[in-house]
This record gives sequence, C-alpha cells and structure tokens, in this order.
Amino acid sequence: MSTQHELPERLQTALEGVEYDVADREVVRLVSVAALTRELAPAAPDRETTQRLREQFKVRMGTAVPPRWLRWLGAWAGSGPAPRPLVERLAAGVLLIGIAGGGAGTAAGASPLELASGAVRLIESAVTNLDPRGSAGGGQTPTESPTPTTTATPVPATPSPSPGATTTATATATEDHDDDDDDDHDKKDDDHSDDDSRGRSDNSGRGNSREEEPDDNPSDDEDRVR
Amino acid sequence: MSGAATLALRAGLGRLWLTVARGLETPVQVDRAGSAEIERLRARDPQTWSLLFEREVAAIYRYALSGLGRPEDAEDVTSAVFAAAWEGADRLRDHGLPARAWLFGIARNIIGTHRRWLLRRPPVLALEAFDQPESDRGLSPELLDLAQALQRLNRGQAEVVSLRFIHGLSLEETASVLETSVEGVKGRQARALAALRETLDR
Repeated sequence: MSTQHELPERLQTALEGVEYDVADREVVRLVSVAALTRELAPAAPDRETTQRLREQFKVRMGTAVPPRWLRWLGAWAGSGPAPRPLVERLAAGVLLIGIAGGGAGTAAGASPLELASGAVRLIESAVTNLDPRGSAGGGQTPTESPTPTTTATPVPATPSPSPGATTTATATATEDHDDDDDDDHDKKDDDHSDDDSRGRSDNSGRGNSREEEPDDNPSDDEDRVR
Repeated sequence: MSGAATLALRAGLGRLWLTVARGLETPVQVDRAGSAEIERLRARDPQTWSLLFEREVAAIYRYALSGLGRPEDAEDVTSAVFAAAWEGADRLRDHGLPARAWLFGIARNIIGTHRRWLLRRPPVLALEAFDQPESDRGLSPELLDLAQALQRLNRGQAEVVSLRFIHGLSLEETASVLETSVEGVKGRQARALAALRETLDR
C-alpha cells in the first residue's frame, strides 16, 4: 500500500535522473514509456511560417493596446484566451445593469433611500408570492380590513362643531377604503408581474443549465486543487 | 518562574528571528534575471518581447500543432497566443517561473476554445501533428501505438504527458499551466504512464 503512495515520488526521482534503482521494475517500465513519449515530436514551424508570425507580432506590438475596461468587456462578451463561464458573465451583467439602473434612478431624482425601499418592497412581494398560502390573499385581508373600521369609528363620536366635519370623516374613511382597494389592485398587479418575472427567470435558469452542460467534464479536473 | 519564563521568551524570540531572517533571505534566492525579465515584459518592453518571441515561438507552435493537427490552425493559434500575451502583459505575475509557463497557459486556453462554437473541444493530441512530410520518416509502429494510446487517456492525464514529455515543461511549469498542484501533476503523470504501459503491453 505504501509503495503505491510512493510511486509518484520514486518515478519523479528517476525521471530527474537523481537516483535510479534498476531493481525497481515498476519505475523502470514507466521511465521507459516516458522516454518513448519524448520521441513523439510534432513538427516545428518552417522558416516562412516563423517569418509570418514574426511580422504579425511586430504589427501587434506597434498597435495600441485597448484600454482595460474594453478588454474586460470583450472578455465578458466571451472573447479572449480564457472566456469566463456563462454563469459568471450573466451575474456580472446583472450587476452592471443594476448599477446602471441605480445611477439612472439617482439621476432621475430618486434618492438611494427610495431605491432601497423599492428593492425591499420587491423582495417582500416576491417572498409573499412565493408562499403558496400567502398568494391566496386569505392571510392579508383580516389584517388590513380592521384598519378603516377603527379609523372610521371614533369620528362620529367626536364632537363636531359643523356638519361638514362628518362629511370629511366619511370622506376620509371612504378614501382609506379606496386606497386599500388600490393596494389590493396593486398587489394583484404585483402578483402578475412577479409571476411573469418568475417565469422569465425560470426559463433563463433552464437556458443556463442547458448551455453549461457541455462544458462539464469531471474527468478533466480530477486532480484540480479545490 | 521568572527564569524559566525568560528562557522561553528568549527561545521564542530566537525562533522568531530565524523565521524573519529566512523570510528576508527568500527574495535573494529568487532568480533575479527571471524577475527582471518579467518586470520588463509587464512594462511591454519591445526588445524583451522580441527575445521572448524568438525563444518560444517554435515551442508554442508545436504545442498548438500537437493539439490541433493542422499547421494553419497552429499558426493562427500561435499568433493569437502572442497577441493575447502582449495585450494582457499587465496581468503577468512573477511566480518564480519563466514566462514560458504563462504562454503555454494562454495557448492551452485558446486551443481549448478553438472553434468550440462549432465543434467539441479538440483532443489533447492530434495524430496528424506527428506526420513529418519533409523527413519522409513517419512514425514507427511503436510510436504510432503510443500516440494512439495517448489519445485514449483521459484528458487530464494526456495533458500532463503532453506537457511534461512531449513539450518538456518542468513539474512546476506543468502545474502552473494546468492550474493544479505539483503533487497533483506527480500523481497524474505516474497514473498516465502506468496506463500507457498497460495499453502498450496488450
């Protein structure tokens, strides 16, 4: 068992030519395969090819190097020697759009606080709609419905010096009620929009996984450092 | 109590001093010529880049040819490797390795993505790369068997054999190109050679 663990070390020592135990048959056989492999030599470029490559490189050295952000953008688009995985590029794109959107909102007059509260509302709405019990709206109605009642009830009891006060109170109560209806409508609208966005994200998620599948090759990375 | 504490403190300080001294010594042991070259490459010094090109163009071409098989593709990839290296010179880091390892890493990525949109990733070794029309020699039956056995290895093992024994990279350079550890390369090369031996013995 221990010899199995030592084999890579013994082989490497033999390959370096530092020590060479002829009795170690296993290592001797592997060294002979390595020596045979060294004979596999692909052809070197001929003189014309080398000259062409030299000229191309000289031209490349003569032209200006694009700025770093442009190279980053190119890499994001998938060009360059080491294109990033699609998931990373999508995440970077979402982040960029988010930053650009935040900048546009600020330029349009929305304060960062409003943007943050908008984001919180969106998350709350999403969480509510992802909850199957919450999506029916049954849990929200009782909490919201007593509010106009309690607001409206004390108003008639208040001594009103003029008849207009009652109208105002009634109007207030009605307005509150209308607001609630609007909220409900808004909520429903939000529900629909969230459903749509969820549908979109699901589709995009599936799309990602489809596109990423061909790149997966676990056998390539068996020894990769994790 | 106080005597023992003082002794322990002195011993600890001594060890600390040795550690610091070793740490100070380390940069002196680094190959200064190599470090200076890396710095000049980072600064895009044309003369240093020309020297690097002359030194490594054949090796990069042969590496590309061994992966792609067609001389035209190898030429395109070699050109792209040096262009990408020149553009990304500011990303070059001094890891105590020659710039060759960095160029091979770029070449590996470019070969891996070459025509990926249309085709699957090319194999690590293309047999036609070893045909040498100018010498009329061709591969001996033994070498042909070996090349075919190499093609049947899994990708990780075939890459180690190719870089280590066909292209002559050191253990450290191979580890850098494959973004793995030296120990990982050692293990992989032993398994790959054992698998080749087994295939050849059949």
